[in-house]
Amino acid sequence: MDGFAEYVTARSGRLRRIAYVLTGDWSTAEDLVQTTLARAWQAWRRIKGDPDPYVYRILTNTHASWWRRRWRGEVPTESLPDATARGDFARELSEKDALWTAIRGLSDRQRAVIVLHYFEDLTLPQCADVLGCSLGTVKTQLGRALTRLRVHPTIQLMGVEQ
Amino acid sequence: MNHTEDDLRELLAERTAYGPGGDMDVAEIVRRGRRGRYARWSVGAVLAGAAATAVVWVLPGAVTAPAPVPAAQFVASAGPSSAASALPSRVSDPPATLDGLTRIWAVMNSMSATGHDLKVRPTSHATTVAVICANPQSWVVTAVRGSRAGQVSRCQGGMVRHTYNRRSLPSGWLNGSQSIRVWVFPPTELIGQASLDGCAVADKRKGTCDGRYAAQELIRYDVALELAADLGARPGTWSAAVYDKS
Repeated sequence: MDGFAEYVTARSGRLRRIAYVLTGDWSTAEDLVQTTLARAWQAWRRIKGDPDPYVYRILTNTHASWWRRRWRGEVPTESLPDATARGDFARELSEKDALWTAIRGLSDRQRAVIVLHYFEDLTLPQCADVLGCSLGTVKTQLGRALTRLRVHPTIQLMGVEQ
Repeated sequence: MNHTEDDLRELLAERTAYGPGGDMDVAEIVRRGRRGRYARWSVGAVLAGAAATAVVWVLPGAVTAPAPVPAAQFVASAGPSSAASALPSRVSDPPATLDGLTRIWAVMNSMSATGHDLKVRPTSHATTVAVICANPQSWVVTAVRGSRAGQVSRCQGGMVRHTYNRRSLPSGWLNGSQSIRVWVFPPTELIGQASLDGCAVADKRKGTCDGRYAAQELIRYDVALELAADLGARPGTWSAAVYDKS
């Protein structure tokens, strides 16, 4: 099909990374990307313009549906624990580990907003389009995610529920 | 410990930098795509055929004496495909009565992927629409204008009956003329699963699930119209009648 193989070759590496942030596991990420691309192939002829938003949408929706089915009852921590004070290097590693762990504790929708906005550099309206929800919902999800991650946004999020 | 957005960006880049490399197997992805497509699309053969002039017969309004519906004089301006030509070119007349209800309106159409408004004056909340299809795999959609009342089903056994939840019908149902739109669509790969639940890509505005129309969304006029436009009118005779208490 026109351009599909080229798209897979060009974008699969990036899609794997996005999927890894969503799933936290490389083999699951690989499976998620394959499933996503197989579904994208089914609709490839109907995709007009840049396939990325469509493929991102399949990826995030597929992950969300897998997560609902495979949820194992893990309860994410409410907030990021303070790191214990140690040497600078060790403390930095520990802080990064804690932040990564906190990302894993976000809801799938919050994590999707984080990865699309901070990893894929999509604007918030683009995130809303990919996730099929309103801009207000994206802002709310992002605000909640940043609060849990203890990340202070440099730009004030208008209308974010706290 | 608090973080900045740059910390977050840096972390995401770091943690994803050393994943497994290698190209993905495009052939395997396509095979998976085909398997998924066949599983989802196993809805029967797709009718082909060029659009032809639809011929519609409308019965008189309130039928006091059981009058036969005029037979359909099927005329196609272009030759139908073998699948379409194997179907009967006419269907039986809707019965004059149905489980104690009296036929109050009827229509017959020689083309599918078409809709028709049935204008009726209901006499009860038991109003029933019966549709008879030449192709029992057809999709039948009925929707009451100005309300959430509507049903979608296959024309199993060649005839289907739709009744509506009283609470879904418009207020003032018995107070005047009402419009029930009937659509009959041929079996088509363009109609996917029943609802938008569980779709990888659900487009609520278009009523599509993974690029295909969700059957339940077809009670929306704009969605049904879009599907009709995609398909074009096709040979496929059907008749519909509205029944109500006399």
